[in-house]
Order: sequence, then C-alpha cells, then structure tokens
Amino acid sequence: MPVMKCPACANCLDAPAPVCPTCEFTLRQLDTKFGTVPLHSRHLTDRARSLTLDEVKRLQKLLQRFEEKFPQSVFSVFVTDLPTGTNIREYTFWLANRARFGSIDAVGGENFALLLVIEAATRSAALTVGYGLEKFVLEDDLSVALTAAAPALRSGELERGIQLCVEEITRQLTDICKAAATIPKTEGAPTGGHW
Amino acid sequence: MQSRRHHPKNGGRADRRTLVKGKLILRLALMLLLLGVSAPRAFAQGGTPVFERVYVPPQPPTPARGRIPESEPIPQGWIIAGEAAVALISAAVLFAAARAWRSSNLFDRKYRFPSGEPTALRFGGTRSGGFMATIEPAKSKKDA
Repeated sequence: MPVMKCPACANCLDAPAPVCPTCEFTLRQLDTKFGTVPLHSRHLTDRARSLTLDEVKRLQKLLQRFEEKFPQSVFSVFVTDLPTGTNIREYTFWLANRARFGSIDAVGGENFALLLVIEAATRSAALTVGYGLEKFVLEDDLSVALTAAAPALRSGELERGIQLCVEEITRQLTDICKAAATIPKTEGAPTGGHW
Repeated sequence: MQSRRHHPKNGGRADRRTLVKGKLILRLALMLLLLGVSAPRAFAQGGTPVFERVYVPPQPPTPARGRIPESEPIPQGWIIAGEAAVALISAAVLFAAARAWRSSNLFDRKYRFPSGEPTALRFGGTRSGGFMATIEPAKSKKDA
C-alpha cells in the first residue's frame, strides 16, 4: 500500500480516510478556498503565459505522444500564478479532482492521469497521479521526475523542465509495464491489458 | 380382225415408230432430270453477290524518308545525377515509412494498466488522493 499523506498538512495516514485526522482537511474546504475551476485544456494550460507559442506546440505534441503510448493515461501540465501563500499541494490536489483533464468516467482506480502544476513566479512544482497509478508509481518515482526537471525550472527553462519531467515519467512507466509483462501469470501478473 | 401391229405389211414401221417415241421420251426424261438437278444452282447464282470487292485506288507511294540521325548519348554525369536523385528519393521515402512504422504502435508499443480493483477514496477526492511529490524554488527535495 502506498504511503498516503494529507495534501494540506502532509501528515501520513494509516488508512484511507475521508477527512484528515490531523487537520480535518477535505476537498470541499478547497472548493470554498479556490472557487471556480480555471479554464484548462487536456494537455497543456499556460495561465501564466510563460511559454511561447512554439514551446506550447512542442509540449502539446510531447504530451500527445505520451497519451498514445499509455492510452488510459493523460499527462496534463498546468502553469499558473498562484496567490501568495497558496499551498501548491492543496491546489494540485483540488485541481486534479475538480478539473476535467481526462475522461469524466475516469474515477477511482480507473484514473491513470498525471498532473504537473508549476507555479510560474516561484518555480515550485507538484506532480500528482490518479488513484489508478498509485499501485505502480511510488512517491519517490514522482520525486525523481521532478528532481530531473528542477534545474531547468529554476533557470527559467520551463519547456525543458516539463520535457525532462515527462520523459522521466515515461521511462519509469515503460519500465514498470515491461517488468510486469515478464511476470508469469501464476505469480499474480496483471491481466487487465496486453502487457 | 388382226391388229395393225401384227399386220404383215406395216409390222416393221410400227416397231420403228415405237422405238422413236421411246427415244424421245427417254431424251425428255433425261433433259428434265438434268434440268431438275441443275435448277438450284441456277437460282443460287442468280442472287445479289454477298461480297463485293471495293475498289480502292492505289495509294500514292510514301515519300522516302531520310535516315534518322543518331541521337547523342546521354552524358554520364546526367546518368549519375539521375541515379543519385532516385537513390535520395528512395532513401527519403524509406525514412518516412520507417518513421511512420515506428510511431504506429503496431507491435504492442502501447501499454495498458490493469484496472478494476476498487480503491478507497481519500479526503473526498474521486480522481486523486493527493499522492504527489513537490519541489520548492529554493530546494529540490521531495516535500513529503
């Protein structure tokens, strides 16, 4: 079972809970805090206007290729300017649940989406996954992908940072899928898709 | 009364007449027979001829042509350039085809995740349970 942490207080949870036992955090609180869901597109949204048109096109192409490789999954990137003092973890959690990057039906274990939120002003970033990917990706894996992108993000190369992050995640997921394909069925190999 | 046939005076004359008459009848029969045999041929030949020869005036003789001058051989440089162009185009087509083949995901290059397992939702989120990593501007460590 993956380690579960509260998006607000980052305390670990022993079991899935509808409310954080420490800070009583829920998604509904964030609805009040953040209000209406901002306009967004499936793959790339640049609310901060930090990317040029060519950069947007190249990144959209990259994210489309990711989706072609993993048809169940959608990798969305959201670049924005958050108000000062906003917790990027809370905002990412709220956006991943309230925005419609992927299919409406992709809920619970059927959600294999990834969302990368970048705060353009401070260059902080958060990478989250849907419930469906929690069985395959560890938080350390997500951290490795973000760490790969960190130098480029810090130096202002937003496109390069996003590209490195997407490529790292693609590599990880490909390795996971290939490794799963070598497990014989008697050992409990997944049977849901052609691995 | 004796019949004229056996009359001793005209017995030979009657025989001769009979012979003449017989010859005449025979000739007539022969003529009729010959006419009957040859009649169909006469009718067939009397119709319009089916094939008529068309008179074609003789064509004037074709003027004698002069001998075709031999064309100059294609320069070898052109041949090499043409072959190089063909090779280049073939390589480009091959490259494009290989690229299309690679990107077409024909050989299980798509990956699917198994699904269907029930998941316990957290904090009211139906899509994501807050499973994430973050980086801060000053530090690149996991914020978890």
